[in-house]
Order: sequence, then C-alpha cells, then structure tokens
Amino acid sequence: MRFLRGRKSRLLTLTIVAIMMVTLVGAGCGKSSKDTGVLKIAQTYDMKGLDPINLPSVTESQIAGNIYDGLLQFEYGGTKLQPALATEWTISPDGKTYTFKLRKGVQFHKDYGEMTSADVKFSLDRVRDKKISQAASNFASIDSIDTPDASTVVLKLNRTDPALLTALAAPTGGIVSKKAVEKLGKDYSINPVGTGPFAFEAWKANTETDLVANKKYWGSAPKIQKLVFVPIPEPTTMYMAFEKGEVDVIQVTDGEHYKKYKGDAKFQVSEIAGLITRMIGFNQQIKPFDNPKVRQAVVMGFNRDKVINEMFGNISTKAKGFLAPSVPGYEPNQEDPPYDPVKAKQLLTEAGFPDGFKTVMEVPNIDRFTVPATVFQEDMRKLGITIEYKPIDTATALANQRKGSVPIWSVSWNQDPVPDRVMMRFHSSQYPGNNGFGYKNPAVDKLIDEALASSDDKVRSADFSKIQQQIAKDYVGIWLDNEKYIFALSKKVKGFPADPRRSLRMFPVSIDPNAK
Amino acid sequence: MLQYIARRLIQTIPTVLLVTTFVFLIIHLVPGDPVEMILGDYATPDSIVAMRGALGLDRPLGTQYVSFLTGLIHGDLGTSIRTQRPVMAEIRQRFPYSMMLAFGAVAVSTVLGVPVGVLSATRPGSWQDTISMVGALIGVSMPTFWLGLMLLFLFAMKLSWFPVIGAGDIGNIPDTLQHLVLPVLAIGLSGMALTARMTRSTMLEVLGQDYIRTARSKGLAKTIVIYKHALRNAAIPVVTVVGMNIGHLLGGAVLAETVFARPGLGKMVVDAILARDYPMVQGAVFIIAMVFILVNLLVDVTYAALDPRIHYN
Repeated sequence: MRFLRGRKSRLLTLTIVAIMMVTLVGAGCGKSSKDTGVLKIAQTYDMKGLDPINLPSVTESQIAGNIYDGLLQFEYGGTKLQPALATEWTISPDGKTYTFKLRKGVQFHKDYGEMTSADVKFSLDRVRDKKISQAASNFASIDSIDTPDASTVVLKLNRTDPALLTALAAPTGGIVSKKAVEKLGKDYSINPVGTGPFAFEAWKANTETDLVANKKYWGSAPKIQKLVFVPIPEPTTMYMAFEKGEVDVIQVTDGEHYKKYKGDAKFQVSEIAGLITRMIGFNQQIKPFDNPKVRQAVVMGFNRDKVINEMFGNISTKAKGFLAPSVPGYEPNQEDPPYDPVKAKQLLTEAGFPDGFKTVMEVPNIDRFTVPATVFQEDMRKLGITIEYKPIDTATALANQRKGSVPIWSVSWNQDPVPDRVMMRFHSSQYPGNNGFGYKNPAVDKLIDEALASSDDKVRSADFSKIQQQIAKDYVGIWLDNEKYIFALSKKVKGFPADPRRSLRMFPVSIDPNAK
Repeated sequence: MLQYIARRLIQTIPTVLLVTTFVFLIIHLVPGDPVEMILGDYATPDSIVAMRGALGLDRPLGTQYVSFLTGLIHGDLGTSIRTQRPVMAEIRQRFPYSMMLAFGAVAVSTVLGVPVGVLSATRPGSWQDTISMVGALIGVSMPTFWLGLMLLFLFAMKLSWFPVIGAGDIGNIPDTLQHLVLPVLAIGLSGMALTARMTRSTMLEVLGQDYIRTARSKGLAKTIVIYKHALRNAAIPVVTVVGMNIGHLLGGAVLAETVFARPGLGKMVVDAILARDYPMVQGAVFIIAMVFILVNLLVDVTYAALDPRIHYN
C-alpha cells in the first residue's frame, strides 16, 4: 500500500504495533477474580450511596446489608427474625412500647468506637425523618425514642405496628455511627460506617464498590477478605464476564441462561421463590373497569401459562393472589380464575360489550413488563378488546399510575416478610396514590384497618385471609407470577444460598481456591 | 487571533444559557417526579410533601431556575437529588473516562479514516476504492451496540486478548489501554467510515483543481502533491467532522459505556434523566455543552493554521 510508505508512515505503524503489544502483554495478567479471598459480584446498576436513609434500589440494599447491622436481622437465607445488635427485646401488652437490650462491646468500623444506645436513637431518628429519609413511612409508628442507659433503647409507638420488627431488620434499619455521620456530612453516603461483617473501603463511579472483612465483627468472622460489587448494565456483557471468570456471582434473569448454567458443571445455580409478585392492574375508576364482569373477562382471557412457560422459560411460578406465597398471612385457598377465553367472551357480552372496547395500557419499558404486555395485548385482541399499548420509562409509568390516569398498568411488587404495607395498597384512602387499582370496598377497608391496628396474630391472619379472598372475588387485577431469584455462581463459591429478599449477605460465604 | 478567541468565548455565554434553559424546561416538562421515584412503591402523601419541601422542589419553577443560575455563576452545579452529592463531584469522577473514550475513538477514526479516504480518492473506480467505500458504508451502518458485543465475543471471549468489563485502573497505563481498545474500536470504526468518506469526496474535489495539475506538471513527487498540496486543502471539512465527533462522543458514548460497563458522562446523563435527577441533568448538559463549544472553537482556530487565507482579525 503506497500511502503507508515513507518514514512518517513507518513511525506510525511502529507506534500502533507498540500500543497493541503493550495492551496484549497486559491481557494475560488481567485482573480476574481468581485471587483467593476476593469475591466479585455483578449488579445491574452502580450504587448511588450507602446511607440507610437513602438506599434507592435493591443495588444499594444488597451492599448495605453487608455493612450495617440492625437491631434485628433475618435468618441467613430466610425471613425469620433473629437478634443482631439487640440481644433481646420485649413488647408491652398494649403493643405500643418496645424495649431492646443492646449487645455490648460492638465496635463500629474504622475505629469509630463502641456502638451505644445513642447511635441507635440517632439512626432511628434519622430514618423516620420524612424530610430526609426515603424509608420514613416504614418507621412512621415510632413516636419517641428513649435511651435510659447506654445499652437500652425504648421505642414508644403511636399505634401498634407488627411490621416494625421487620423494618428494624431491613438495611434501612441499619445502625450508623453518630460520630461518623456528623463528621462526614454529605460525604457520609460514600464513606458509610456500620458494625456489619464487612467495612466499606472504596467506591469508583460505575466501576466498583469494595468492602473488606471486618476483623472486629461481633459475630463469626467473615471468611472472605474482600467483596467487590461490579455494575454491569448490559445483561449480555454480564453473562460474558461471568463465563470468563471476571465476576463470580450474577443474578440470572432469563430462561435461556438459567437452562444453560443449570446444565453446565462449570457453574452452580442457587434459586428461590422471591418475595415479589408481577401483575397487570386495571383502574376501576376508569370505565369500563368499574364493571366486575369486564374485569373478570380480562382476567380469564389472559393466558398466564404461556407467558411463564414459553416467554420466560420457567424463571417464575404462577401466582395465586397478590401476596407472594412465603409472606406470612398468605391465603392459599382463594379463587384463581383459569384461562378460559370462551367464558371471557361470554362475560364481555353479558357486560354489554359483545364487540369489545378500546383502552390504553402503559408499562415500564423493561423486558419483564413488555413481554407479558404484548402477550396480553394479543389475547385481548382475540376478545375484541383493542389495547393501545404504550411502553414508557419507569418514572412516567409510576407517576401516571399513582395519579390514576391509566386504565391498565403493570408492575412488580417487592414485599416485606409481613403483609401490612401490601394490604394498604387496597385501602380506598390510598387512591390516588399507592392504590393504583382505584379499588374502593368499605368492607375491605374495615378489615385492613382492623388487621393493621391489631397485635393479635389470630385476628390479623383471619382478616388477611378475608381480604385476599374478597380481592380475588372482585377481580381487582391479574396476579401474573412470583419471580424466582436465580443466582449463578462460579464453582469456587461455597455456602451461598439465594434468599427470598434477594439480599447478598456474604459473611458465611467462602471461596475454595482449588475448585475448578 | 487572541481577540478573536476572547470574542468567541464571550459569545459562548448566551449559547450556554440557551442550552441550559432549554434543558431545564424540557426535563421539568416531562412527566414523572424525582421524589416519587426515590420513595418508590410505598410513598405516602405526607412523605412526598415533606421530601419535596426539603429538596426545594415545591418552589415555583422560576425560583428553581433562578437558584440554578445563581449557583452556576458561583461555579456550583447543585446537589444531585439521587445521590445527595455535588453534581460537580459526580461529573469529575467520570469526565476522564469520557475524554479517553472520545479522544481514543476520534484518533482511531482519523488515523485510519484519512489514509483510506486518500487511497480511494487517488484511485477512483479502482478495486481499492470500491472495497474502501463498501467497507465505509458497512462501518457507518453498523450499530455500536451490536459491534461492541461482537468485538467482546471475538476478542474477549474467544481469543481472551482483552477483558470484558470495566475501564481498568486509571493509574496503570497498560491496564487502562487494554480496557480502552475494544470500546474505542466499537465507536471509532463508524467514525472512521465517516471520516474516510468525507476525505474521499473533498480530496476528489481538490484533486481536480488547477493548482494540483500545476504541481504535477512541475514534476513534483506524487506523495508530495497528494499529502502536501491536496490533503491540506481537503482537510478543513475533515477537521470539522473530527471536532464534531469529539464533542458528540463526550456525552453520546452511552451505548459503548453500557456494553463495556465503563464509567462515563453519557450513561450518567441517561440514568439521571430516567431518575428525573434535575440538577444532575442540568449540570452534565452544561459541562458537555461547554466542551462542545470549546472544541468547536479549537476547530475554527485550526482552520486558520491549515489555510493561511483564513484570518480572524
């Protein structure tokens, strides 16, 4: 090639070759996670900060769960409550005073000293402050916090709140070092200080978040030296990075890779039914969804099995009701309408819509909602219902659903291991707002009010059962499925169970350097 | 020249003001609410009101705009709603990676694109010309996203020459370069195709000029005629394209940043828009607009260096 002749061109060629050599030399010794003691975990998003008052998504909660302890904790891999920073607690007979005895000698990371009741009061006062805390509504029942001595905390409640203990065990209930928050100010969220098994080390934007083992941890010492959380937004890239050994733990969200990793001895798969329900809801305040027959027709005309088996490849189980089955209070004996397009058509005719009708559906523009939505649209077309289908960004979808301006919408609900907050979504006082169904049933309102105010488990479960059965009878929405939380792990990872809250607590996990 | 540069710099003020105002209006006009996004599924009406008040989002839009401008004059881009950290700090964390990617991609597209364009132009209609231009057409048409995944599949998975994810350790040059090669190729190849086509067409025009014939008839070596006489005159539109590319890639490399899991301004802006993080969007757009304008100024100054007939005084 003539244009590459001459000294300048030769120099250029040499430079290019040199750059390629430098980069290739490095290729062989790329920093993969093969070192023992380092575990690399892929997440979809970069973390936005690790202050318990502002953990915007599951990404932050998964990291924070390793840094902070709450007064209580969930049993490892499950949802039962266990002592953590509180060794014991008592609840007064009226259910409005909680007294916690704190574990003694617990040290904060980075020499921020011993954890005392002052830190607990400070942490809980922050997280219930509506002005600054994203999680304030979970702690709204707390009226005041007393600290009679350094190892006792007394919570005075303005109402009974059986969900409070769960809130105290979640990452948003994590106890922060008062001294650290006051000293670090705005920088605290990227320099968090807790008492958990891992201490925060560093955050590089969109690159990684590093935690190191806390040698002074009050529980059994973590077996891994370092946790590295790596944000990988594109799933295809994430799967490649996993297969190449650049990350050790990933969440699998499609049926194809689920099958692939399950059938490959090079990998391990850990899965569990998640505390989550995916659904398609209709707003009863918008015609014709005020008509129960129309709602029943829509529910029965949609082939859920097709979505679950054919489109998603069995990475979820069919839902029966709006609660995830592992939430205490779940009612297994409730109506679960079968797929019956003939009956659906008949119901539509009875409702006065023999030729169907036109309506609008808005869903977040994410595969897990657009895939079922397109099947739904097609099934409805067969009934004569024409759906104008609008995939839009999540913020707009959420806003419109809360405003009550959309006839049909689709979301997934992450759930607590107690049903209280989910139940409130069916309360008429929550429309417009969290009750996107526009569902207003005075009998259900009464049951919700009674259950949430009661600390008697019998009353609560009887009420919860009735609420679920009534909502099933009223065809409030389509309860599509409960997604499984599926994690693929490299062979060297030992002792990691997927848990129904999708937390990634790693303290008992170890690395076997000899595993191949 | 200095006077010209100073004048141009002053002219940037209204441009930037216009851009930021436009972005401010657009981002506030789209539906969706940052507080509802932060509070998520379980937002209660009173917690929404309380947080909106604390973040100053309940103030009239005009007041919010004025306070944004006041901050800007004081060099303060505000605080991100989502991360509660200064917008400037968030930008500073990602800016070097965006610069590396943009300059790397433009370097690849220029170093490879210009010679290909010249080769095609000097042999119009030949097989080299046909191959180059068909190649360029494919390059322009290839989606960055797809090309990035293909590069990853071949060079990272099959051949193991390069890592799949990340931007490397910025203090470690071989590591950084190694992480840069595939993303730079993924963007640079389409840029190269554009540069090659642009070079070819302007070269063809210049090669038909009288002064080229004169140079040839004087008996000058072909290389000198092509590179010294023709290319220099054909370079101005090419420089424009290169300049635009740098500006565009600073904030527009979001696909490469996503595929290769790299930090960068592009992804930051997209995430901020999706979260309705108003200060972050405004701040980032302001910085990107500034760089765009400065690169354009640099392009104009380069014109004068390339073509002595261009004066700015």
